[in-house]
This record gives sequence, structure tokens and C-alpha cells, in this order.
Amino acid sequence: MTFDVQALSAEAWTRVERAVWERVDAGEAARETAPVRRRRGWLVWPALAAAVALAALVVALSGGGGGHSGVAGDGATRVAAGDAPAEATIGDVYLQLDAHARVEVDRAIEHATVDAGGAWFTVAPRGARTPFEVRAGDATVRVVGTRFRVARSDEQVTVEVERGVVEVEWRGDTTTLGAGQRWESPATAAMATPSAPATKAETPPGTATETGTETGTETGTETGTETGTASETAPTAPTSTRAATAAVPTTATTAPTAKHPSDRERYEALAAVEARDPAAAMAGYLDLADHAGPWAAVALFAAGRLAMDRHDPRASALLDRYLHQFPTGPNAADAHQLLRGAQR
Amino acid sequence: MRDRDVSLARRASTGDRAAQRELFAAQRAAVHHTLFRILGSNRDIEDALQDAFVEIFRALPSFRGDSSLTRWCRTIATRVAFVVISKRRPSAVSLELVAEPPAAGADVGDAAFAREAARRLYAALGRMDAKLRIAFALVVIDGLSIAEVAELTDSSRVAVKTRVWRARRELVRRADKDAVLRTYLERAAGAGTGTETGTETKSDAEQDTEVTP
Repeated sequence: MTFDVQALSAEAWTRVERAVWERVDAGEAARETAPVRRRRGWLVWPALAAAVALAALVVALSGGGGGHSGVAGDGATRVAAGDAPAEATIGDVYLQLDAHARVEVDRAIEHATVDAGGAWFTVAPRGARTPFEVRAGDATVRVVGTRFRVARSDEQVTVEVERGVVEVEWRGDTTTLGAGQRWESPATAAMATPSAPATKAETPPGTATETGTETGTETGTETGTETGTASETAPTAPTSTRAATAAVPTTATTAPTAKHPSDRERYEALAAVEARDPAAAMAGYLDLADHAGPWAAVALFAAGRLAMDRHDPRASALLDRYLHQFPTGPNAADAHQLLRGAQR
Repeated sequence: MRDRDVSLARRASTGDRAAQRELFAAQRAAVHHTLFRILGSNRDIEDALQDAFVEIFRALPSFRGDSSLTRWCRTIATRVAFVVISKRRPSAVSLELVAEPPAAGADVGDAAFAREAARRLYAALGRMDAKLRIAFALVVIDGLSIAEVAELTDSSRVAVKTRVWRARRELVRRADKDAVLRTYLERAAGAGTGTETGTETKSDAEQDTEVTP
């Protein structure tokens, strides 16, 4: 059965064409001199902002004016929301800004800077391209393709992930966040006094916490894991939306100094390898689940979630075990949801 | 042909309005086709078309003729569609309250069934991750090969096959409660053409999920 493509009326095409020329004439299609980078042999992703939706949006031009709407003289695009939230599409990045938020996106659409306030970023899959980066204060968030929020208040930075996985780098330490997780930089006062290396393990520079169940998917247990994406993503940032949905214990350090991998490091390594080798990841999760400490809960839930996604008959038993051992665990709601989905 | 594409792109990128109009006229059908297949209707498509062509004109200087201009424009259209889908909220279509499909046979009945099946199919796809939706729409509905869709989406073939399989799995799950959708999927499966062109078998995609890409 085929569905015919319904033709667009001549009037509609006239409207489209007229609007395109208007936008082109207004400079939206202006191209800066950013070097062209080849990807996958032939695909070149646009190097500049193309469409800036101006719903209650004020576009401020940096570099002394520029002259093209939204594009600054240095090629960056700066968007600033007024008294109301606003949205903007810059290349393949969709922004939803809080009121009074200010965000700048570079000419090649490879990184953005949150100057003030907060914004949700929806980033198209990056494929072989350099991960998209969002900078806010001392924090850098790297992403392959996902939806997440970065907000700052002075030097305090908050990162929330709705879909996908991001990597937050803050003052040399790196934290991986999955769907539903949140990271906050330390308060300004604490930041003024750098912690000594010896205390780093007990005083993580960034604290990841669970913010609730996944909100980016609506199709239950089937829509999470992208099991075939390993070859299309950067090695450090798998696109599995469930690979890191297990909550990160708040006591975890992001800068382990021990020679042997910590439980957190093991968990993150397993999450990273899950798409390529789910069987090995499962074995690792189960082993880690037998350890003492907060990562046992994370790993046990991950094992149950992975088993469910792979239709492993152990799935329900693992999730039941998780709920039995950690009835109020941070992924309890997720476990219940997965079990309900399995019963349908 | 490639030389002509490169020449046209070069002229259009310099602001030559005649060349830009020529490019617009030459590519509008392909761009519309891609957007329609992914979005499922002409609703809101005018804005998407605008965005796609603005992107195309902006990126033209980077076109080198490694692929055809049409393929290159379709890639940009696919990315624009991704953004459009990401902005949209899932459609609130009840899949429980549906009637049995009309009897096939008469042309009128088939056409009506196809329209209804399309509506329900896209409603179901609208509740999926954008990547799954795009892969399914382009491979299964539009009939592009896995390799073509991999290029259009800047993904690996394994990733595309897996997405198609996952989308189909999700649709099958939903079809339990939707007779029209179920019938569509059965017909689509019956018209399957293999793993590299058009639809693929479940076992192929399933296998890919177990093998390191």
C-alpha cells in the first residue's frame, strides 16, 4: 500500500516562494566564511543560523550591528528573550528560552554560550560531526543529539536532560547525564574556595540527581534504547536514551583517583558499551548489582531495563528484585512503569 | 549532471536570483516530497518548506557535487523535518476507539482505507522518537533503500535498519488495538522487498541489534 504525496496548491507554492525570497533578502540565508567541513564524504551541515523564529524574541547583534537579522558581525547568532519565553531555530538546534534568557550560537553551530538565564536545547543527531557544546560559566555540556536544558544564574549552572545523554565538563571534571538526570555546579560560595585534591572524592564538584521519569518519550518501554547507534555517535556519548536513565547517586564523585575503576566508572563504562555489546553490559550490570553501595541499585535497574528492552525473560524478575531491594530507589517509578508495560 | 548541479549551486550561492529561482523550481518537488513523507501531510508544511529552502540557499557554497543536488537538498529537508517533529507535541489520537477496516476490493474503498491508514500510521509515528519516525517514513513508506536513508540522515546503515525495526515493532504493538493499522502493516509486510531496498525483515534488524556495528 502506498500513500500518495498530496500536491501543494499553486497558491501555496506562491506563498512559500515569496516567503523564501523575503527571508533570503533579509539575510537569513547569508553565509559566513566559516570553513566547510566534509562529513561522511558528502554531507555538509549548514554553518550559520537559518531561521530564527521571533516569537517574543529580541535578536541582539554582537560585533557592532552586522545588518542581517540574528547574525552578528562575527558570525555568531545571539538570541535574547524579552519578558516572555521565546523560541528560536538556529540551524538544526531548536531553542526554547526562558524569559530574559540570552544565548549565543557560533557561526558553525558547533557550540552555544548561555550568557544568562536558561534554555532548553533540542539538538538534531550529530552523526559523525563534533558533538554540539553548550557553555555556561565554567561548565561545558557536550551532546550528540538530544534535548536538554542549561541554565545559569551568575556562576551557578544547572543542566537537565530530557532525552539522550550529555557530558558535562566542569573545571576539569566530567559527569555523564542521561535522560531525567540533573546536574548542578556548586554554589558560588563553595566555588570561591577550590577543594584540595585529597578531598575531591568526598566533595564532588558537580552533583547529579534524578529529576523524575523520562519525559521525552510517550511510547512506554519500546522507545528508549537505540541499539544500533554505536557506529553513528561519538564514542564518549552514546545516544541511547535509556543507557543512562538509571539515577546517579548523589554521593558519587566525578573525579575518582583510585587506580582500580570505581563503581561509578564501571557503570559508565557499561552504559557506554551497552549499544555495542549488550550481553557484556548485562553481565557487568549484574556483577555490579551484587556490590554494596549506591551503584548497586543503579546497575540492578539498568540490568532490568536492558533485559526488558531485549525481551530477556529475566527482565521482570530483575525489576522486581530492584523494587524489593530498593522500594524507594530513584528508579522505582521507572521500574514500575517498565513492569506495567510488560504486562500490557 | 553533476557539473550542471555544481554550476547552478555556484551561481545561486552568489545571489543570482535567476539561478536561485531555477534551483527552487528544480528542487521544490523533491524537498516537498521528503517533507511530506516524514511529516505525513501538508499541514504546517509551508513553514517547513521555507525553512528548508533558506537552509539550502545558505548552505549552497558548501555544495561540491559529491552527490546530486537533489539528494543534497533532500538531506537538508530531512534535517528540517527533524526539527519540525521535535517541536511538535504528539498527536492525541485515540487508537482504542477504531472500527474494523472497510472491506478491500473496490477502488473507492481502497482509497478511503489508504487515507485512514495513513492518518493512523502517522498518528502512531508521531508518538515515536523523531529518528524512528524518519527512518520508517523514508524506508517503508517512501521506499528508499537503507543506504539512501543512511546518507540522508547521516547515520550508519545499521542504525537505520534498527530504527526501522524498532518503529515497526512499536507499530505492531499499537496495531493490537487498531485494526486499520494492523491491516496496513500486514499489507506492508506482504510487499516487503528485502533488507537493502525498502522494507526489511525483522530478523535482519534484530540481528543488527546484537552485533557490534
